[in-house]
Amino acid sequence: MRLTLEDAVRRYRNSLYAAALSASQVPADAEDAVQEALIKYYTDNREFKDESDLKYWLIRITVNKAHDLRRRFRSKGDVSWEDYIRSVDFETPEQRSLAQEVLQLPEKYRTVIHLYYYEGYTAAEIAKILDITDSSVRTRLVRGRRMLRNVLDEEETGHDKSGIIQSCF
Amino acid sequence: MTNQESYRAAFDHIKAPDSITADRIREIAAQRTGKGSIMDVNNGTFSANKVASMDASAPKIRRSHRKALRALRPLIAAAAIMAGCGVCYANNVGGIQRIVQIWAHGQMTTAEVTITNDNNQTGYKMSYKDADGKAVEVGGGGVAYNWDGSERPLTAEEVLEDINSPDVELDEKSGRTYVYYMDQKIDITDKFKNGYAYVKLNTSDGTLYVTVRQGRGFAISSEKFIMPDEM
Repeated sequence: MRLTLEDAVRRYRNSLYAAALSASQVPADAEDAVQEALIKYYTDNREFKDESDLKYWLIRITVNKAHDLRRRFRSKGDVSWEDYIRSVDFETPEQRSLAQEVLQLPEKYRTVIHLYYYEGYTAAEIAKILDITDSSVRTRLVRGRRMLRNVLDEEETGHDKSGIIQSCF
Repeated sequence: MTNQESYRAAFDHIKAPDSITADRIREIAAQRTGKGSIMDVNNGTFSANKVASMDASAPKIRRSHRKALRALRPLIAAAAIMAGCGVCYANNVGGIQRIVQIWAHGQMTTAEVTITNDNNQTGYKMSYKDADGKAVEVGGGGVAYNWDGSERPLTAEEVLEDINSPDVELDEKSGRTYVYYMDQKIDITDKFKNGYAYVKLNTSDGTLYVTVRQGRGFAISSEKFIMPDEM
């Protein structure tokens, strides 16, 4: 299956941007990464099994583009992630705190955390996206969540698909 | 509310910029595949030595020099800042490891370059000693774009060509931006207008046109200045 470019952009642009921002931490780079992923979708003409397959492919391309697009130098005029988050209209202060805490994690933790909590991917799926081992993903999830203990609940069950989180918190 | 629900509720407020539209994606794709006006061969955006397919007998692949550079540069970035590596030029070509003569902030020195290919992306590591005798390592990598917009790894020659090309650096201490080429260093800090500066370099191979996007990268063409909407 394929979606029209309009539908792909409309359905996925925001989630791709959130994933790219988590990966790159730089709003401008995140924008470029999403753009590159959608260009690749438009020019590749590949078929997908279903929408989840398509979204997974787009997320994978976007995250890896975001990692690649680290800029050579930055201008003082560039919007930092801190300024960007300050400009976002969150519903509650807790939501803003959560976004801030996630984005200030070291890169290897925040990408895994985002793909796990926002996209709902399993450790195995995240491992494929990032081209790392399942065990690395699990370790990063454990450590990342430990760093987020101030904004995420200590105890949680029910949605963990990584097979390790619930035993560590 | 579970952690996942809390997380999603927060990040649902992160919205992509309005500039990401289907029309914009089509426009850029058209430029890259030569179907748009900017990359039209007849427009001569790229020089003959950069565009293999300008010769009808050549393989149907066109390397976008500018795009290759743009893709390559960001990965060079972090290490290059650390290294303060300026402009370099290849001394010999062939094999996976190369010995090159490089210009590092106006000083010529010998460097060893190792070129790798991983996940269809060509990368390199380069090591040399700076003017103080301190060991420096830099690295980078990237892709080039084919006619059809698909990506391919850069060749070793393309990597060396990029190492050999002009370089732009922001001196974070002074806040000034410099263009380096061989032993030349040009302060372009005061040349920015509306976020862009345009630098013309006269080299032994001809004129190079460098468009610098303030703080965000740069593009090089041997034909004309790359305009902001092309970057």
